[in-house]
Amino acid sequence: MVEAVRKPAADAAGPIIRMAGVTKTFPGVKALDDVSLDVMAGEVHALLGENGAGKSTLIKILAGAYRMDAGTIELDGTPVSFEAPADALAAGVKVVFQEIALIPEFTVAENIFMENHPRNPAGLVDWRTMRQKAQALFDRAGFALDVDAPVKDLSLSEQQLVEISRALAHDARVVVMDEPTSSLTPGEVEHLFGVIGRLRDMGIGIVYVSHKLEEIFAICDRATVLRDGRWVSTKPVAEHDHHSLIVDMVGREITDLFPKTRHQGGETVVSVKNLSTRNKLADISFDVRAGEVLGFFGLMGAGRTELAKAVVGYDPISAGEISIGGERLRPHNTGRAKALGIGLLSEDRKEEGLMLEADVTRNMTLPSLARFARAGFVDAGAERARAQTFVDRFRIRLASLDQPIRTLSGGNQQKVLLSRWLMYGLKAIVVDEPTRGIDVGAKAEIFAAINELAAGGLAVIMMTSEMPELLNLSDRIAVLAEGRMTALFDRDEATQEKVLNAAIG
Amino acid sequence: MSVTSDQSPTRQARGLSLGGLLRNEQIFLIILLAVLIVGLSLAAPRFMTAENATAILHQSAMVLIVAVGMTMLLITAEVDISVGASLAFASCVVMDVINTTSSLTLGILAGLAFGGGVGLFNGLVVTRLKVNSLIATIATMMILQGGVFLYTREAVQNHHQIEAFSLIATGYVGPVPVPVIIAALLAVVFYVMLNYTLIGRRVFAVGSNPKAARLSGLSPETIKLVAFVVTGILVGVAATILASLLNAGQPTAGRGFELIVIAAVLLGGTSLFGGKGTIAGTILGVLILKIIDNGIIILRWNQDLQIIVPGVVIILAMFLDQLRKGRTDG
Amino acid sequence: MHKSMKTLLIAAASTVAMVATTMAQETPKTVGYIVNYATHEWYQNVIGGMQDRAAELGIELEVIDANLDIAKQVSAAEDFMARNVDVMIITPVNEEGAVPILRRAKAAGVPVVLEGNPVVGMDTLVAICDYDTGYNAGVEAGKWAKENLEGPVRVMNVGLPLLSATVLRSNGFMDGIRTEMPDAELVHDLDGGGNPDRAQEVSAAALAADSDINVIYGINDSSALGGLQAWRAAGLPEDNLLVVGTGGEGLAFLNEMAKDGPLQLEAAMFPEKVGFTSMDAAVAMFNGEDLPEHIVSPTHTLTPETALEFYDFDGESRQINWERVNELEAPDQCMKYASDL
Repeated sequence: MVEAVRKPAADAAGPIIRMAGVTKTFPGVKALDDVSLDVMAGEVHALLGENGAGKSTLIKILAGAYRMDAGTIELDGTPVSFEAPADALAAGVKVVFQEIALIPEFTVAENIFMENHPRNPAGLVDWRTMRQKAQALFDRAGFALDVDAPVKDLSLSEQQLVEISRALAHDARVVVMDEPTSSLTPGEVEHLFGVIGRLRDMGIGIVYVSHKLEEIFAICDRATVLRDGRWVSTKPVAEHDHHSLIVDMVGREITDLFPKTRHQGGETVVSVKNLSTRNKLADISFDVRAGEVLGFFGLMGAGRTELAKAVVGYDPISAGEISIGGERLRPHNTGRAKALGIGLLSEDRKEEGLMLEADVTRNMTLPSLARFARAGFVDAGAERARAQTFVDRFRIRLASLDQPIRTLSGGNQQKVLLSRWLMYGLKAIVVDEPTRGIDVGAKAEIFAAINELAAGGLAVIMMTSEMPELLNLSDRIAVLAEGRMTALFDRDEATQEKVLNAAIG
Repeated sequence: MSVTSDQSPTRQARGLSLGGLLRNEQIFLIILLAVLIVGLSLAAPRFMTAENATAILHQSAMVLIVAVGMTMLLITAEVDISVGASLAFASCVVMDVINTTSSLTLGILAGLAFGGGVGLFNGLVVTRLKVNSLIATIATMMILQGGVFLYTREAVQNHHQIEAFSLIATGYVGPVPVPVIIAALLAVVFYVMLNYTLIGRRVFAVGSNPKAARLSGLSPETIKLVAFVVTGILVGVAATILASLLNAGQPTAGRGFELIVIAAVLLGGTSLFGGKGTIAGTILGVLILKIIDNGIIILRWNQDLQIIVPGVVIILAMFLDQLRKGRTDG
Repeated sequence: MHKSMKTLLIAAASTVAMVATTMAQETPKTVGYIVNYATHEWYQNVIGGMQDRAAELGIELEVIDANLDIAKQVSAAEDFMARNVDVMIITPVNEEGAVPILRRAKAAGVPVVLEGNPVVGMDTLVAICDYDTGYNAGVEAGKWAKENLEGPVRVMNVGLPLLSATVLRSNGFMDGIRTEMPDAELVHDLDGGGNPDRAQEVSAAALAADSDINVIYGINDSSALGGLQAWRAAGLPEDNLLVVGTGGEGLAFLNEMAKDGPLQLEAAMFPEKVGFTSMDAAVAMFNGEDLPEHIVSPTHTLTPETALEFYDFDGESRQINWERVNELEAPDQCMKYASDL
């Protein structure tokens, strides 16, 4: 089996997989229209596009999870048809989805051979052989994993390696990775890139789906860009630069992703002294002035989200004081925080931000409802009129204010949530990973909005793990490491290297 | 990353049709109701009479009174299984207090206080002790079912013979039975409350996304607690009617009452997962179940079907609902 | 219970003769009663009558509640046998489940009196006659209707078709009423489930369909009063209506009768007397007397006036008047049994 993978396909010049003319329609929406994709042995092929461009649909068709309405898939030049995920797997196509589908209670080895347990002559599972085969696989791919560890004890990146090992155990020739770095720390990303390099050396074709252009330039050989369900371009990455990729993805010029504005600090709005929480944060102190963006950087688990939630009264604190506009946040709850004028734009829109079934208006007016009420009755007309002004101001794309918010794109949802707090009128806002899962075009608008907030005199606290975002938007930069604040830089003195050094702690 | 977030113009058309869909949900129930009424009228000529319509409304009243509270509670993503047991206990309390004090007002207040107290207990267990409401209120149901027998082994008989008391359940205003008027008033109040008031909107917000509600400065615990207490008080209202209707406090009454109430609310399109529900749907749900009850009696079918048929109807309704949604959402 | 003991002692004095004859025999020291469902008023009064009689005879009575659980009933019987009670009285939870109990009791030499329902292999059963009870009430209802009701007799039976005993009562009632009013018509034959809420609901639907009736018969008091409450909820006038209840196990019928409303007849079954008779049967068995397979406990149709002869009722509780009840004569045999259905 090792030989089979190492040896390039008989017809070395042709692609392993060639998808052509792929069309897929869902009720009311043409998700894919005449899309092509080919994957060579030993190449890393980027698949790019904004949210809704059709990337997910395409890889689900490749994985056999969806059936296409029209088009062909060829394997080594022979037409094949993937009716079910098992067909794709049998043909050597393995997709590693964002949500990892492992059984947490089982060991690493059991998970790898979930579909094809080695058996002994009696027909029982041959545990010894299974462990040996798993170990051999790891040795070949250079993974440092314990075959006997239960999967639930592994980190997310280690689980990803288990998923990739499952692909190798199936003699996969094409591995599709769907936003593999979205939950990884920088160190883990580096490691993953090493793994991808080894897979490439083994002659495996890799389809790499990502938003992060830096990653594309770091590891990909060719890039296919989709837009609105149509194929736009397939080119060697070497022929692209940031600008050309963004133009292909967005279909228009985006002049400045980061508007460079310098904010003038006013008086102190948020003052945090010696803040600690029971299980994460220790002795954190900082001030934020009106009109200032204070950026917080930290690796996964550094405590960014914990700090964000503690400051707005959502999570309890064990020591320290928080003052907003000179008044103590006491009792420590969100009702008091809102009254003092601080609120959180959560990193997790679905879980902590949106009322998915409710319409746009109701989502936007949630904290401000009492303003529209007279004698307990809500004036729906005034409420809608107010919501409409924010739809106009942020150019939120929607059909109607009565539209359920779940039907909006991520970027437009984020604008609604930002409007939620603007409508209420805060003194200070905490934004946690404001551009997570948002496509490039909408990112620029969110950045502009954050700048606008600060320019309007708000104190902005921004939690982020995206270095460009941090360095370009913040007036000052604070760094968290394992629940402590390890550094505080002015914008001019901060560099990527300094920040990372402080983040590693 | 799926088609729903696509920015194509076709989505706009879908946005509009989704609005239509929400209205459809009730149209579906109205059609079901119409089919039942027409079917029963054909099968049993005695079905379509003013007397029978009055009887059906009369029987629907108690269920509807508790169901409007349950609708509110389900919208906050909680549920109360103890309403049946509380109903029986509270009906004994009402009768006992009137017997002892000879005061109708005190008796009714005691019933409301008992129901509200049970609601408060449920609410505190759920919001403070963080026990899942399904489990917590099943436990309360057990406590009440056992507890009522410690309170009284036998039915609490009417010793006071206050004329006005029997009028609560058996009186009429014009052609309309008093319980129907009480239920209709409460349904209107709750309809207005849920749709047009601050508290109604907060109830929806808490059920849609409790974390988002909290981040917006609301206290989901307080709102849920209020919903539990309000549901409990409505159980007290129903218990007063029940005591009057049976002319006794029956410790064994109300078995299965919670199932009919919850079934009607779910049938009416309220979601068990919170954030979604209407009083109009609940009214339709109650009427559908009660007409089925009435039809089974009038057609002289085996009356065990009275509990079987609603079970089947609920599964069917939920299934059709999903079919409809699945077809549109893709 | 204390109050009833006191009344009982007075009652006992008046039955000295009877007591004396019993005392002349040997009496068992301990009797164990396994009731199927002690929370029901009927059985509470059965137990009450049994306790009264046991105290009178100086017998120690112990009661265990099977609470409708046959496994619990079996283990209760084992417990009694292990402790060597002299006689067991059992109200079977179900007929099949009681068969092995009887077999083992026979092997252990413990005599068993059954109450309520027959079981294969039993020696003796104490029970009322369901058909006769309904029949006698029907005859009285027919007489009452002849005098007081206008128009032909039209009956709503709030029945319970699941159980043979309650079907016998309903059949008996209709047969009885037709001896006086041959044209009596059964307009509604309902399944009221035997409980007040369901009886009320079912009756309401029936009355909505056709309220042209003038007699409501209920197979127990819950059914009769559920039917009556449905009548009231439908806003119908009460002046040309007769309600006939059955059982008389609690306070509900006494309350309703005290109002002098439509509930004019009650087919009382005297659960206290059933308990009393069961205890006497236990003593007789202990003495090895030859007992009939079915010992009938008497029933009697009460009117608002005669009800107060049998029961002292103060609005809060009732006391059976043993002297009056013990005057009643029971037939040796029932007119009809479940096997005749």
